Amino acid sequence: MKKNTQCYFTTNNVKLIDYKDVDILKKFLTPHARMIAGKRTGVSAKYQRQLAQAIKRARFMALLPFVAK
Amino acid sequence: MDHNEHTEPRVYELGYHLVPTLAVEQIPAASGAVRGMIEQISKDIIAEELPVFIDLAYTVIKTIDHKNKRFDQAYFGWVKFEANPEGIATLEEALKKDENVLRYLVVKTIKENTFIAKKFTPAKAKAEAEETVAEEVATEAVAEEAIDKAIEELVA
Repeated sequence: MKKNTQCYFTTNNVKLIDYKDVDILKKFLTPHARMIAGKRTGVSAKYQRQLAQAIKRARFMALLPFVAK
Repeated sequence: MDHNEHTEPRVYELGYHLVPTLAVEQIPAASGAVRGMIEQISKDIIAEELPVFIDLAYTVIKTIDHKNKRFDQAYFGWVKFEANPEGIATLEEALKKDENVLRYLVVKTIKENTFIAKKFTPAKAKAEAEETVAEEVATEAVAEEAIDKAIEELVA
C-alpha cells in the first residue's frame, strides 16, 4: 500500500471510531487480518490508537477474525 | 475492573450476541430481557439496534450445562445508554447469568452517533445479494457471447 499523506479519520471528521464499523476497520487490515501500521496508512497517532482499540473490540466480538489464512 | 474512579453518569454501549439456536420469534423476548437489565440501572436509553442474524468471523465457544457448544452464527444487537459506573457491574453479573447471551461487551462511548457505515446486513440478505451479483455476471457473459456470434456472422 502506498503511503497516504492524509489521515482517513481526520478528513472524514470522525469523532470516535466504532468497533461495529467492520467495513471501515477492514480497510486497515492486511489479508491476513493483521493491523497495518499508521506509518503505512497515514492515520494520525490519535486515531491509530482508537483504531487499534476498535479492531481489538471487533475481534473479541467475532465481527473480525484474529487470523485469516 | 475498578468502577469507583468515576461516579458521575456517563454514556455506555452494550453490544451482545444472542445464541443462534433461538427462533426468530423468540428474539424480541430475549433482546427485551437484555433491555430490561439495562432499564434497571439506567433511566436514559439513547439508541438501540435490534439483534440481526450474522455470520461470526470465527467459532465462538460457550459452556452450556457443562458442555462446550460451538457457534458460527449469532444474533448481534446493541444498546447505547446512560448510567452510573456502579450499575455496570450489576449489569455484567446479570448478563453472565443469561443463557441466551453468547457474548457481550460494554464500552464507554459518546452520545453522538459513531456508526458511520451501513447497518448490519443479515447473513441471509448477504447471501442473496451475492447470488444476484453472480447471476448478473452470468447474463453479461451470455450477452457477450451473443454479440461475438453476431459479429462473426456479419464478418462471414
